[in-house]
Amino acid sequence: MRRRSCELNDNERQPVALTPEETLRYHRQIILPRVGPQGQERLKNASILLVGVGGLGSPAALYLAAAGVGRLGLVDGDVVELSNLQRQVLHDTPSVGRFKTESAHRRIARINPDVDVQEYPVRLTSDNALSILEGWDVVVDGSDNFPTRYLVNDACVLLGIPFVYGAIFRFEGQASVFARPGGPCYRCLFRDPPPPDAVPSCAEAGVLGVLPGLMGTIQATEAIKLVLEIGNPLVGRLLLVDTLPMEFREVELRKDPDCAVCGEAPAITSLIDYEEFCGGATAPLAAPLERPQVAEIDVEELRARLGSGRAPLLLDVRENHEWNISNLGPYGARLLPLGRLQEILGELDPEVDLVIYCRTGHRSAIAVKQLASVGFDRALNLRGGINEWARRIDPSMPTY
Amino acid sequence: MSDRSPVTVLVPEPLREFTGGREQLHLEAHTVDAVLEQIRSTEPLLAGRLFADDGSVRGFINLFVDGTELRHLESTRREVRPGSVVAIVPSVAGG
Repeated sequence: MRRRSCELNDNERQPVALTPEETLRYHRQIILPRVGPQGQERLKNASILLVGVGGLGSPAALYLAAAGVGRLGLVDGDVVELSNLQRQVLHDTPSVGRFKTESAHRRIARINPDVDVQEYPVRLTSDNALSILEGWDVVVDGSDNFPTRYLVNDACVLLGIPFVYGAIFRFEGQASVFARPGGPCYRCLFRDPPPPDAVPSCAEAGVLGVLPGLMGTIQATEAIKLVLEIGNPLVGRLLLVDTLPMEFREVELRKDPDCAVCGEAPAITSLIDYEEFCGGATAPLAAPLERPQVAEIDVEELRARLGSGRAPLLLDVRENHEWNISNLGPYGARLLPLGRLQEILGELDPEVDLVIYCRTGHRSAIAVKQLASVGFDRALNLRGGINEWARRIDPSMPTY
Repeated sequence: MSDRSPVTVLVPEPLREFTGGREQLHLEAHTVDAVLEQIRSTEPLLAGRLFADDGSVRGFINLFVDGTELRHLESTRREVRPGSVVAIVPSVAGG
């Protein structure tokens, strides 16, 4: 694989000067001492590719377009859904059902018609990544899944393109700049992906709508700094943002000499199968995290037992906020978050029939195994969790 | 022991279900290894998420002691000081 210099591509393209109208449009930026007309011209001649135009990509694209980045690439194979609009501010209600790249392109054109937008309404894959990424000055990673994140990392390392990383979960965000010469990459920070389903997605776990706004704007800031070569980029630093206490922390990242892709003897010299890497390759690592094999009961059988004279005691091992979404309180269920199970074991009677449930049956399986290890032989796991109950027994109950 | 220092372990959102919702753990220890051992003994659910069977930190989680990655800590810096902060940083993919 050819490794390209990380130098921006200005010298490979004919620089285009600012027009009088552009000088007016970007006046507030041009008068900045570390930008100036030269910096603004640099932005105009720069190209930035956004992988994902969802929560993170939305503010990043808006600000990069408004700032006068000459060429923006948009990679996203999804269409706009109503549930996206709470945070994906690039899209609007009339765009529901359209490709996100198309919706984003229309919005960017209204903000700044001078931006040259290239749409890629596809999912980034090992087959198309190098051809899509090659030639861009900077990549902004706003993807929403681990295979794409490792793919973006490896492709950027192989192509020598710096990329601005951002990731979010509920109220917390992370940001850094990876794949800059001499700096660490995403694999230096996280050698392996988590086991499938070990980390819930935003769709499963929820996300504060303004959080991607905050983190995507930080990514846009870093991308502009890389183009302008000003300031101190987040190279070798990981920014950790927690919006509830509103704390910004920073930890130091170092390049890992043993890194599989950017280390001294890289094992990865071309793109691999990232679905397999994030799904199958972690099996030995995942073993302790896999759902334990425990005795189960399905939702129909539970309903029958609840209506009989041998109703079991129901234990809900989710968190309080999940209980507020849906619960089996009307059947006597008791909320007992998994992390507190050990504390109250003494209050439970091992001779009582127990049915443990959570959202999908994973945490409750862990709970049943823990209970079995201390003599609770009559505990059963509710297969499919409360979401399965909602689907098959009580359709009026929300799922999440 | 008199030379133990109060240490705060920051538990990120994705792992709080394994600490009963607690955002921080307050421990007393004199070395990083003692901090990790206390997590193993007092927080078995969390420890199951953090450590592989061989005791190493899992590849999708990273630990930072006062801002420095655990595996880069030099042997001379394995002692914690009063107020040291151990940050658990998990990989998350939301975008």
